[in-house]
Amino acid sequence: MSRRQFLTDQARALLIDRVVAVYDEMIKARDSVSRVTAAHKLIALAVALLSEKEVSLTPDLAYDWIEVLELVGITRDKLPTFSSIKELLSWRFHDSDEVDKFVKALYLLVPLFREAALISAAAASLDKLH
Amino acid sequence: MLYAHTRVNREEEEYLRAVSLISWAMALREARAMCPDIKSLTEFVECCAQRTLNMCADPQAKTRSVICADTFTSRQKAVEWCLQLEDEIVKTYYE
Repeated sequence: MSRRQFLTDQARALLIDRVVAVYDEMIKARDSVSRVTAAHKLIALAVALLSEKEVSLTPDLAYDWIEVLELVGITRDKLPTFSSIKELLSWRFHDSDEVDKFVKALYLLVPLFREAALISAAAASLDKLH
Repeated sequence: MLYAHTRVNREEEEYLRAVSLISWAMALREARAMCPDIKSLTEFVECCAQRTLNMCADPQAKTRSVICADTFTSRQKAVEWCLQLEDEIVKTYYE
C-alpha cells in the first residue's frame, strides 16, 4: 500500500486516480463514442467527488485547450464560471455531444486536479520526512 | 488505416470530422504548427510543400536538405515528405 493513501480518505484518493486515468482515456479517444463514454465516466466520478463541496467551476483548465475549442467554435467568451455542478451540467456548450461532454469534463477536472496535486505534494513532504 | 498515404480530400475531412470533432480539431491544431493560416486539413500538403520549397532559397538549407538538392525533383520530394507528415498527424488522432 502506498504512503499517500494514508493522507486522505482511501476511497477518495482511489477515485481521483481513476479520474486521471479516465481523462487520459478521453483525450486519447479516436472517435466520438469512446470520447463521450470516457467523458461520461469522468463526469460521474467528478459529481461523486464534488457533490459534498461548494465549488466554483472556472474554465482554467479549458484554457489549455482553448485552441482546440476555438476550432470547434467555442471561444473564451463562451466559457463562463459556474457556481454549482448542477448549473454546469444544465449548460449546453455545443450541438455535438462529444464537444459538450468534453468541455464539461474539462471544467470538472480543475478542482479534482487541484486536489490530486495537493495529495502528491503531501506525499512528497511525507517522503522528505522519512 | 483508411487514410494512409492518401492526401486528405474534402470528403475524407468531412468523415474525419464526423468520427470525432475533437480529434479533427487536435489534428488541425498540429497541422497549423507548420501552416498557421490553413482552415482545413485539405490545405495542409500544398502549404507544407510550398513552405518547404521556400526554405530551399536559403543556401545553407540547399546544401543540407535532400529535398532541395535537386531542383528537378524538389517539388515532388517536398510533396512526398508533406504527405508522410500529414499521414502521421492524421494517424496520431485516428486509428
